[in-house]
Amino acid sequence: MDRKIAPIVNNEVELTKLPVEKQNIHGIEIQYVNGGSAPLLKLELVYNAGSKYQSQPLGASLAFDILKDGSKKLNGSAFKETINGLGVYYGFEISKDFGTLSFYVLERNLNELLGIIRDVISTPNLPEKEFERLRVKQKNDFLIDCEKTGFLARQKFAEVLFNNCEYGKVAHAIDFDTVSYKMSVDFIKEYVVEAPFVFLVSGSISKQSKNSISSFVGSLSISKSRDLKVVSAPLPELGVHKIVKESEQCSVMLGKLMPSKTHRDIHKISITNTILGGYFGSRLMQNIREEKGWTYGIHSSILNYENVSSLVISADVLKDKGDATIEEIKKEINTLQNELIPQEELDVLKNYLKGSLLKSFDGAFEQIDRFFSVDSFGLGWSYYDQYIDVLQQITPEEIKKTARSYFNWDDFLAVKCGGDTK
Amino acid sequence: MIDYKKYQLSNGLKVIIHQDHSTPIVAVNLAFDVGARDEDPEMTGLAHYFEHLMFSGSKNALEYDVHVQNAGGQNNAFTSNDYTNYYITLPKNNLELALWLESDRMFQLNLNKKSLETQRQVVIEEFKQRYLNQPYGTNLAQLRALTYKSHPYKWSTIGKEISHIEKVTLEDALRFYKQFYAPNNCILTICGDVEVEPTFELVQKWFGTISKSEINRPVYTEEKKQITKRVEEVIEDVPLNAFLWSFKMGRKTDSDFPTADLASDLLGRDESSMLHQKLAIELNLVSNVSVYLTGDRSPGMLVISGRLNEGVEAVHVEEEIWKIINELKVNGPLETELTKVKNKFETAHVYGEMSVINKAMNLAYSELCKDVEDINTELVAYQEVTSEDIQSWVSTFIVESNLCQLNVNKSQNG
Repeated sequence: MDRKIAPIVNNEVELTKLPVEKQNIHGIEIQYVNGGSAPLLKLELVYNAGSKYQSQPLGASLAFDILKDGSKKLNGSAFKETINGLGVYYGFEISKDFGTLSFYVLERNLNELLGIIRDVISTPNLPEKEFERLRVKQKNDFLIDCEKTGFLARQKFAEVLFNNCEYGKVAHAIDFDTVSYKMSVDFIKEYVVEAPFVFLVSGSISKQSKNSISSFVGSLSISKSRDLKVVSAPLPELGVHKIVKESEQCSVMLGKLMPSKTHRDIHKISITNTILGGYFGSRLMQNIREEKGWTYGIHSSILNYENVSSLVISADVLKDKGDATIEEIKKEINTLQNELIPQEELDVLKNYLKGSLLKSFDGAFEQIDRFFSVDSFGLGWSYYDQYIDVLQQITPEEIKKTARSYFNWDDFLAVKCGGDTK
Repeated sequence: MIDYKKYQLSNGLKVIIHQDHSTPIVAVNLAFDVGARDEDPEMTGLAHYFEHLMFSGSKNALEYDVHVQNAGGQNNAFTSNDYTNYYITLPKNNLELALWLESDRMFQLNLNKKSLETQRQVVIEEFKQRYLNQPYGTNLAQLRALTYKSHPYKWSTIGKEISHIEKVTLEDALRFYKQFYAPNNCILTICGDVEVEPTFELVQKWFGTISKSEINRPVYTEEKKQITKRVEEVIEDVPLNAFLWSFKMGRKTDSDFPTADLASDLLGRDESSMLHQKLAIELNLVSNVSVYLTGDRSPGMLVISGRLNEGVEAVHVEEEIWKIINELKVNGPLETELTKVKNKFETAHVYGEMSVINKAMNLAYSELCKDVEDINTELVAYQEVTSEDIQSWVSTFIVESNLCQLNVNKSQNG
């Protein structure tokens, strides 16, 4: 054994994609990813009911919150006792595009859970008293969030980047007073009750479970179509937006709009972003954290929404280093645009990304997420094969070119919050 | 049920290997028996700060992270009051690289001035980001200090104060490393699609020659039994009044731990729990309330915390909490309620056995606490808990004389 010699690394990655089976029953698309042996299933009902569909901020999130009160048949504490009594972990959540009901359930309790779900989505209880309680609770949580520089920066960032667009409509304190019970009830009636959804089912799915699921879907009455809302085009407000707040750190966010997930250069953009700030070895992490010690972490990611995509860089830094951090980010982007990435760095990155991809496909629960995140854009499993191809072939020149085409500094805007003293 | 094989090298390193053919990923986990409870009271936060320094590279692998990335792996670590845990997941073919990296940094870490200074700054920023710059961010640390008067659990893993982190020298770090980062203070677990015997031979190859250290652990002073309730009031710039209660209890390894865990679930695990149903939904007194156990190796805490709705009197909430606790003492939980928390435990347990990294961590932690085999008897132990067990446990531990209560009051100008 000689410690000086590192064991040889093998970077051949073979992605095993589980088969996805689709079934369409009166407008509801079921997607099964069958794998593993544990007696646990993940169910997700994905509705076109994200925040972009609401007429006023909070309408959608409160709507999904009161849905947790159960159905006309089984509601309030009885509902919560029953569903938790089955050992089910569940979440009713909204994103900008989707409203999702998700459940982890032991296989033996599947039938009982399906009955409960049917009642909730067909005849939800939606009591006004519970709406009122949740409105106050959400307001309280909001007031606490408003003490956090990171939260304030995120809110402002969404507003200025997605200016003029539904994605940029965030809640303000006043919205908690004007949001109405009727708004939330109407939202559920419009987008959930008798509305079609995509039903994602993953885990070790027996024939029996599958039968239960299709007869559950068959028993639902569906009277609406699954219409997509197309949002207005965002008009970013460029510049540096400053929020004054006394705090221990300064939260910095930078970003710009990006081409959509279906764009031909999407893989190159994603790889270039990873070099900039998408992993621990990224330029930004190495510079701002590992060299300078200004932050606990700095990250850059690409977020794909149904209608637009964005690049977001964020960090909480030493309170007097907000501007300097923005300068360093500019410098790093500049370097990407003007200097070729060293082959060694690129090789490490390729190996890292291949391994990450392999891990993100580990198990049926992971794979259904991977699948839905492409399927919802009309793409298929081949998206990942193309990604591997691009990853294997991409050259330093192409990265430089990508940085020049899609990371133009003049398109970036920034938000800085906190670090001020009295 | 997790099948595993357990070994011990002559230098004391414990090795646990579990085969899982279903995944292309292998997980390598190292649990070191050193945490914040092993720190000098004048240099708290060192165990966690040192965790950052473990990524400084080692004699033959100068850039630890780059090696992991190049092997397609991901790695991270965390520190608790009880131990420090490092883990890597990577494609199974590259297992040996992980063993090389981990053995090299256990053997000859490249501690240096540059890394010491940068990570000092990073850790101080972490202190601010996660605690000081968060509303209610320091309350748990305050509750610890109120609950523990002698035991080192009185400080948090991040440290008591920034000045403690500021004064750590290279010599301090080196001394800490030499003492605690040795094979006889570590449990190595490997989970994935590996063959057991050849894997063990690889472990022996890379770790077998590292020598033991002599570990002089501080004596953890046992807390004296608390005789009367302790209350502390703090004023902070927060939007809502809040409360944090602790009750001292036993160790994670005590036979009554499953009972305690289920009792805390009954009281406040989720929205269907007793406290949430009554205080949040029925009476609308609190915005949220939850109960959890710290689950420590030394005697730990049951913590009840929540935030009051605007205009609600703290005493009113206290009365209601005691009513629920007292009812649990008198009547015990309903059979359906007990089944509910057991079922939820089972779901979480099944879920926990679905990924190699979870299994690797859990096997190591179980061995660290007492015996790796406990992981396979845990579910039955939980299923055997009776309503009477709950009743008797709550009556013993959840009593006013054992309560430490932190009231967080919002400042008038807040």
